[in-house]
Amino acid sequence: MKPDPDDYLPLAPATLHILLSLAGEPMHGYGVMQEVHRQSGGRYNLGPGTLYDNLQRLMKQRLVEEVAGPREGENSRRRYYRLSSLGRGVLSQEIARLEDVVHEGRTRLRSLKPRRA
Amino acid sequence: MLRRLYIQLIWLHPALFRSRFGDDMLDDFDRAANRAKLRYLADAIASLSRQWLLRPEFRRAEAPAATAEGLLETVAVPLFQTIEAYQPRPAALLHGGLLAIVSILLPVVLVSKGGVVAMPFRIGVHSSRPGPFSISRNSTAASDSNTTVEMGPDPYDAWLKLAGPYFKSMPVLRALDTDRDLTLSPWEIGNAPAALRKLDTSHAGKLTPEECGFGVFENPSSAPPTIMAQLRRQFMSYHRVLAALDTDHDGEISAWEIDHAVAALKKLDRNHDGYLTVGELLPFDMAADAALRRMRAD
Repeated sequence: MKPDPDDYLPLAPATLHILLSLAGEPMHGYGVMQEVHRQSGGRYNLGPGTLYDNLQRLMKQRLVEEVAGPREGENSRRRYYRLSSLGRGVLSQEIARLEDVVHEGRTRLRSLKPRRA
Repeated sequence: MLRRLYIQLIWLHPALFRSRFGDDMLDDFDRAANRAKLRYLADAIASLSRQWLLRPEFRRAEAPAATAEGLLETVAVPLFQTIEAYQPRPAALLHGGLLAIVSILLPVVLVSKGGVVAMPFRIGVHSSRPGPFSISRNSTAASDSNTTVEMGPDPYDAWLKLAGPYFKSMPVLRALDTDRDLTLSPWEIGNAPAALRKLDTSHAGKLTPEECGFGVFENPSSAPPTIMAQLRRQFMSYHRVLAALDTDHDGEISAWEIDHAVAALKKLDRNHDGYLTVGELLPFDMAADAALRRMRAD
């Protein structure tokens, strides 16, 4: 039976940032941390412990999978990760949920604005 | 310094996590700026807590023989692995550890406090503290284990009270009992002829009743000869040792009877122990009197 992406929602902030970082090309752990730092504008910093603890759990949930890295170069011995199809579906659902939250939030905030007399 | 500490923190992680991500964590730490390394240390501590407290499902994969496939793969090697796949919850381990500590400490504390609970069951203690139970009489009550055993009078004393004066009054016994122990030993019995000859003050080669201790009258010549002869025979027959030595019952111990004194004395040894004791030497009525005293003492 195919797992339902909605079962994984809502995502924790660290999980969301990691999935977002891996939405592009495969990336190693240090790259994920840098990407999260960049995405959040430096306001959210993942440590290695938190990163790999989440990666371990996400791979167990089959949202992330390990892929082969470059055979040569500085990062040849590091592990690379990418989103699985299920992870991509979960991320899409989470973004859609967040869009609904944002839309709902904006609507509420707009209704709270004082009208001009 | 920080790197060593970080390596130690990585090493403390579960083996599966450490083997899979340890190198990458250390590589990330080495790449990080110095100002970020303290934050990485704190992050490693948080990760350590999460791994041990919130990720038990990942630790189960550490047991290599937990599955049937694992067992089949290790058929060729000694099966020292844990076959049981079940691992108790951390809380169960904690409770078990606490229970074990309490189980060890409780007897230690009780013993160090004197074993108060177990004291009512101690038997034979010389003195003890009062127990927790209201037992009016028990083995732990203060008691004196010293026991006074009162001995009754020695039955042999009854013989000795009579035998001492008797031996002193009898020259024959005084001569035979050379060590004055009121007993004739085998050596003293064997030496009897020589001892008896010393009593022959008249050098007649025989022992008269007077030489054996007979002395009823201060002036024997004043008594009728017939009565004197009868008294002398009675004297010689009354005392066992003299009656034994006077084998022909003529009222005198002849030279031949002196020479054969050893055999005559041995006839008095009723228990055949080789010794002549007071019970075997005293006259019959004196022995009866001593036996009565002994019965009263018992």
